[in-house]
Amino acid sequence: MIFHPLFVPSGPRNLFLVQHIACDPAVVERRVLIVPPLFEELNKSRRLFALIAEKLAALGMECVIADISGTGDSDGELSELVWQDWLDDLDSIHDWINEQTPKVPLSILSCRASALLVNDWLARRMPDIHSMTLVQPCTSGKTYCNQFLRLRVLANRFAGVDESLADIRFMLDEGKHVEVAGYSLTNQLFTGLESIDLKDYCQNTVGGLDIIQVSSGSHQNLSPSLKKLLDTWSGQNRVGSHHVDAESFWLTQEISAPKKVIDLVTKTLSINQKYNG
Amino acid sequence: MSTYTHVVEVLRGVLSLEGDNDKYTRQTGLLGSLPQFDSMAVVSIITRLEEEFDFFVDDDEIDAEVFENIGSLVDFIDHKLD
Repeated sequence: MIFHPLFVPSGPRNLFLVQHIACDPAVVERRVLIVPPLFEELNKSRRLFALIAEKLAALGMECVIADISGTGDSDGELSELVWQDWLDDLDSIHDWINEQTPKVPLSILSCRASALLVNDWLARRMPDIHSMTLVQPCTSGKTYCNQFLRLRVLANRFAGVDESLADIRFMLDEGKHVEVAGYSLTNQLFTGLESIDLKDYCQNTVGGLDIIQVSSGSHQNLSPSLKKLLDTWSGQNRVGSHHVDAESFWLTQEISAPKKVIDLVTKTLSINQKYNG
Repeated sequence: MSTYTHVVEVLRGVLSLEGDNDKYTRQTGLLGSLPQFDSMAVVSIITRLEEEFDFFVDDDEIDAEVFENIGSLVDFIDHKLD
């Protein structure tokens, strides 16, 4: 097993990637790019995606986990970035992967808000992607951004400071830096994320799309937002939906890497690699 | 699935609560009772509930009374769904 941390240039910044590969690169038949969740959810889910990458590599796939600018160990300050920078980052990562193993089908695994970024990138830049798997995707950028800003609202409220969501939005609209849960943001990045609604995107991929819902309980029902997404996308592509009974690893206070999630994600990607439309 | 059962499963998933659903009742205390129930937990739970039930919670709807116990939280959600 090769575990290869490296930096890849993206414009003026260097991006941190980790490549997992278990065999001679020349015989890799499938590749997976993992774009982890954003902000604090990235930290909560790092271990999970490292374990997924290891398992995929053991199955013969090459797996790359990427930190986009301003996140993880990559260069850049969030407050200085614009949405275009993140799209350019995915271009740079995609180009690097293609230089390593050209013409090998590439699948993308996204999670939570990174699903918004990945789908916008796919729509705008139209890279050649074999399949896409989305783990507990945020379907609405607007909803996700409101929920993120709420972290500051409630932290202030518990500290006795009265500040509303509207107050924070006003500061962002005035071009100010706003700190939320330790992350300094501006509207330049935020409006890009907020503008995306997954229902407006449906990617045509040979290997299809898979949506994985992670929630506690034995019920198999998709949440209303994921069901709406599935209904919208099903008309235009092969879309699979799956539910795994596991805790919300991106939120739990203790770092969690549910085995059931690892097993389902790797199984889904393994099945996708065999599907050629 | 009843709102109560759904809420208990969300709480268990977010807070990593031990035991099965039978361990909890409407009277089970949350804010001020469970040590892991801080401001971050409140945000996380609201976020999951919004996704599970497909509604949005406004700032002014969030107060300590809603999170007093499982029963008060269930009643809040039922009110939102009406």
